[in-house]
Amino acid sequence: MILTDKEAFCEHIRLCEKAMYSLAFSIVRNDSDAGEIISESIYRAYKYLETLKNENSFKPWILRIVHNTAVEMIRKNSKIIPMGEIPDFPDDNLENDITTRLTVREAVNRLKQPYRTVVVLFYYENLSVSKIAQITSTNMVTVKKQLSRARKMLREILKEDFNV
Amino acid sequence: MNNFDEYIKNKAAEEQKDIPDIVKKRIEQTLADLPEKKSVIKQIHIFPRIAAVAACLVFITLFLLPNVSVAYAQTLGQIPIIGDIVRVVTIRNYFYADDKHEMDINVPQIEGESSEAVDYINKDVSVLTTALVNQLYKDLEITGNNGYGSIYVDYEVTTNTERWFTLKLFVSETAASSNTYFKFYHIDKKQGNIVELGDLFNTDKYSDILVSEIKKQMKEQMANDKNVSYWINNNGTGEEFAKVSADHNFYWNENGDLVIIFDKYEIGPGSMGNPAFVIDRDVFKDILKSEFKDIVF
Repeated sequence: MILTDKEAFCEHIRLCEKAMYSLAFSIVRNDSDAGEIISESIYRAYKYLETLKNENSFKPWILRIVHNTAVEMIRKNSKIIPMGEIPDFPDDNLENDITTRLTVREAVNRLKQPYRTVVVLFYYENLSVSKIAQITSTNMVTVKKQLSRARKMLREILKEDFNV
Repeated sequence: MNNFDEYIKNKAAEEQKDIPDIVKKRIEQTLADLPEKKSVIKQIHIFPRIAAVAACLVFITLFLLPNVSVAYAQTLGQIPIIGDIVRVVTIRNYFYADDKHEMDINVPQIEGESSEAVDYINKDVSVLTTALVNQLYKDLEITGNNGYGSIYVDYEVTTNTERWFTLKLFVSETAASSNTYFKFYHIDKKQGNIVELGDLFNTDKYSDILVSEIKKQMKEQMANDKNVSYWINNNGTGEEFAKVSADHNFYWNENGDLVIIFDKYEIGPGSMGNPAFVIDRDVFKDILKSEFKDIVF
């Protein structure tokens, strides 16, 4: 099937908007920039809609555009803090009070890049390793390594809850 | 899925949150601003006609001509075709993990019609992966708890059409530093042969032509982005890039252009990862052997 008109395109975007937001937010960690990235991604996707060969691949296709747009905006725009250089969220509460329970999302937000992004795509969006590799323009080996390291970090952060 | 993955996925499902209003409004505004798109339904409408013509051609080529022409039937019978290879399965997984070492090696095997090409690839993959496994165990014996290391091997079938088959093997090793490299195996199904880069061209000058084009792209990238760095000339900081060997890694992209891919550290510092350069078909079309001119995916 081929997407043929604006209405069908808009429907597909609405079905994927949560995933688009999760991905964009995992990279820039603020709503304003995430909104800007999603908006730009929608324009780009619409412009190049004919290059989408299979409607069933819409979700990984649009997420790849979101990822590329976010990375590009970070490179061009110095007001967005580059990936990997974002300071961790304050964790004083956790360290000072071991009874504090973190939500998984808070734990994920404490990870650095690229671990946040692969965790969001794998655990929240239920995407396969090969799809994540496509979206993040890497390969399956890299994604597996990133997931493996992210798991170790999450286990450490969530050890009070998971009892490991 | 292990317990921890299951735990995180369940928690993630419970914690799903709605998109903030500010972002939702932005999305709706963007969608509202999109212009109407011209319908592409016409392409779909003409498809049955194209399909009908194609079906007639297939009938004439495969059924009618062999039955009315002895010469044609003999010719058709001589064309070596690797048919429906080509299912690739993981026949073995080597896994090892301790606090300082990790190994996860998936060994693929091409299944289907036996041929020299298929047998060669299966054997080559087996030899390579066995060597990597043995190397890790040897390192473990030597360094014990004093060293760190990991190795991952996985694969992907990047092309599997009636005309062409490509298996891509990834190898990623980490010791003092990390290194990722690839191995591409190609089978020309029409000829039944393994094809390497040098086999594609009718002259040895292909290396000079590709190097010239790649250097041009390297310079453009470096001019446009100060973070990009390649070792183009021997300037004391790296090795000169002067040759693309006959067995260099490549693959075809969907336009029928060549993509030449390099190992980490091969033509630039580690920060460049595994650089890949798309070589437009126009650059090499004059030296491409006639049997490969029809390759477009």
